[in-house]
Amino acid sequence: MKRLWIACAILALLLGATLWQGLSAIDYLEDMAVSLENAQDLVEEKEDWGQARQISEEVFSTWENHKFHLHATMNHRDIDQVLFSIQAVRQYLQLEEMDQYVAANAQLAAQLRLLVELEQPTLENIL
Amino acid sequence: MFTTFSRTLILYLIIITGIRLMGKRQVGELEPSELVLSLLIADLASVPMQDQGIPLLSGVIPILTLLSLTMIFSVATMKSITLRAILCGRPSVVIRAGKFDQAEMRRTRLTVDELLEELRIQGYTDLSLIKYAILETNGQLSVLPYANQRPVTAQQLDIACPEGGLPLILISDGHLLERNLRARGRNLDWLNKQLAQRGCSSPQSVFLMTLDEDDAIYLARKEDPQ
Repeated sequence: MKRLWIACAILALLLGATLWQGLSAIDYLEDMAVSLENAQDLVEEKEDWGQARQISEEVFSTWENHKFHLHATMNHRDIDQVLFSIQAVRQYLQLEEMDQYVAANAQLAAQLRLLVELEQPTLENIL
Repeated sequence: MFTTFSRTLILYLIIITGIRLMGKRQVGELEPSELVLSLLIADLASVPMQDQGIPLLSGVIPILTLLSLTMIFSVATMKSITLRAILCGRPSVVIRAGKFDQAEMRRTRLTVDELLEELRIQGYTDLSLIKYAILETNGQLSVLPYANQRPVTAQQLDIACPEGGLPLILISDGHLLERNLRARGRNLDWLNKQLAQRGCSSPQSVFLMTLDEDDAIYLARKEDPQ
């Protein structure tokens, strides 16, 4: 019976940990996507590159802070794609290239949203 | 490359620990669920071992989940006969009272050729000697011959045989197992005396030494390395 309880405990722990991991990743990835979109709005509507750069750097910093968690739980190819996009957005922000920045930023936000979608405990993902 | 090496080590240790915790029964002959488990674990472990782009947890979590589920089902089948029948099936009697149970053979999809092959492997070429043949849930065939075809026992010949004891290993490949020595009620002085009588200077020179309940000793010395 001891082994039964240990097995049940491991299963419960795995279930809890995987759900918690997914929900916490959804949380910060969604926040990152929203912040990037806000930064984009600032550039498009007010051409406030300074504020956009600040917001974007905070987003990139959040990404850096969660790097270990991301690498330990997500496909590295997806992570690498996001990293490339971050570098592109950074460069276009520096150069203040409107069209390039908007396209790259939109792509980055979409990639983050895809990661969010992958982490959601939905029937679609299970099937 | 170092990543591959580390992942292989980690996954191997996890699998070995898990299989070991599941118990001796699972390590032996495989029930259907255990066969599925073995196949799945092998596949799950190999993917993160070879592809560094996949997180290690992508292999560890499914493996731990499978091992836990197997343990739960294992205990559940121990407690419930119905569940045991559902998960493991029931043994099928394919030869009953010397006659083929053809309906049972059809149900288990056991062909005559397969049955004869299994019987030959067990040393039975004459089907008239077999009273029962049972296809077990793990796929093995158990054969019960007629009583007059079974090997004669000492009891049937009215011969009294000494009961042998269960030998405990005292020294294994030069290592003294003190726990077993104490279990047999012996001490180091006794051991050293026995070794000296047999021309061994120390436990390190012994390959195998056993002692059974009747105080019968078996000793094999280590060979000199060449």
